[in-house]
Amino acid sequence: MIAIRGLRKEFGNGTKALRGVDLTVECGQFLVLLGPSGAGKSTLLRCINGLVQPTAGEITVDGAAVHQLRHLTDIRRQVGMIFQQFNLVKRLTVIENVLCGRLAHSNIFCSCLKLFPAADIDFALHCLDRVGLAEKAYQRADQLSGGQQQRVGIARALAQKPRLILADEPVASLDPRSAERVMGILRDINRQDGMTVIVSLHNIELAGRYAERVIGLRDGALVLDKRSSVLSSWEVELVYGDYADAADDEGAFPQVTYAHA
Amino acid sequence: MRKNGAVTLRPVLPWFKDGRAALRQLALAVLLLGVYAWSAAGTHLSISELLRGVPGLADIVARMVPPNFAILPKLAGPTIETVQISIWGTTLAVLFTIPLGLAAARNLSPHPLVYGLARFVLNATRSISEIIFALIFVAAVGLGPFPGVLALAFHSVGMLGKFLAEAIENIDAGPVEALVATGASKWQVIRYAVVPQILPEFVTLCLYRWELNFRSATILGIVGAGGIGFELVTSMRLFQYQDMTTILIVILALVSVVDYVSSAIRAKII
Repeated sequence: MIAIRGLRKEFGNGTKALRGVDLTVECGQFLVLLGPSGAGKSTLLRCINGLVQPTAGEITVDGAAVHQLRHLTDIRRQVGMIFQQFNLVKRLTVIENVLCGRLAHSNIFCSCLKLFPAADIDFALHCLDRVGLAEKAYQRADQLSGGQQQRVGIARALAQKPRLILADEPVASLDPRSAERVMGILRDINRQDGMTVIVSLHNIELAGRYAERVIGLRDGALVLDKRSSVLSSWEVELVYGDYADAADDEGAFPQVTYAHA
Repeated sequence: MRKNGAVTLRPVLPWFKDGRAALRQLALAVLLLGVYAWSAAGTHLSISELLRGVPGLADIVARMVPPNFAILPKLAGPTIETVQISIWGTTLAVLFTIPLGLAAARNLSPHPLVYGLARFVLNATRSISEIIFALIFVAAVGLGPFPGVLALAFHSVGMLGKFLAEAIENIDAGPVEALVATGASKWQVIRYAVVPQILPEFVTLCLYRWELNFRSATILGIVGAGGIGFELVTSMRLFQYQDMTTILIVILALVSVVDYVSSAIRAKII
């Protein structure tokens, strides 16, 4: 279970990305974060695994507080993340990218020599098989199409054996068919493994077909929380009304460094 | 262009924004011309003097030919030594560069103080030429090729480290973020997200530095730091210009060989 209390984030340039968000996510939910660009979706997701340090408020993942340094690595191990730009290491092979999900469970010295436990390598291949890319395991990641790269991203997250998957605009850079496939895989993971999945989207139609619960975020505040995927037109208006105002903030995306790696 | 229609030309952007901008640019042009004139006076730049030197130059060139190939066997040892100096000078430089480059990259440096110190060391070693380093090391460890190796290593670190740090600062931060998000440790993130991204550029850089170091190694002998430069300066002091020509030919040939080998390795790796 994820519990978020009074979460605020103000970036150095004065952008208020989150203005007091309270949210509880139960285990096994498929939750979609909806909202226009700049509404704070990415920041909210990144606060959950500590990639962004909140200005105020508290987040606990299964009872462990994210802001306590001793919990941070543990939480990151248990939380898989998927990115809009896939964020694969392009010059490494697909299997090496998937094994990156096992690094936090591996001996530092051996992993730096690219030595992994045989069981981990088998599991990485199994994860690739789940996303339908087992035959691409030994190709370089940059030889794959966008949709395939995103599926490798999912396999990397699965390789962590996480309890929770955060997906930050996972289909925004994909064509409709690849998008459908990626969303389908995420739903399968949610249903078959009972894994909690939080996906940020800005496509209302996709959200309608996959979400179990929809959270609407606008200007850093929670404006909608609905345990159904069907949104009425006034609810859409609530999240997206005066879209142009919110779109102005698009340039304010946080630059994430790993000072607290 | 049409045969008889006049073509009107006009600038895409106005050349001068306004009168004040025009004046500023004029002043800048005058200033630049002034600097050139001043430097010409300081360096006794003179075409007449160059022309007066032509007969002397012709005399030396005439005495340089034909090259005296009889000394070739005597050159083999110093030539091999020059190659060896360049190999170890570059390798030691690469070894010193890796920790310094990591510390001097803003996005990896553990602390601003460490960053500042690494940048300072890199700038300092870069600004001291290999000849000056060679003089220092000859004084410290004595004549021979070893001070030459040290001189190349210390000078090369400055450039290699600066470029390594810049390569690290320019990597795509996405994969780094993704690996941090998995809970991987800092060294694992460097190994899996940073190293693969900078490796081709860094290898190219090291090979290029090797080419430069080989050229530098040919003159280290002038200050007694080993290699073929010692033969060169000896033959000049003894006015044996035909020997000098042979040495220059050997250097030219070797520089070509090193350039060829280095670009062959580069093509293989990237």
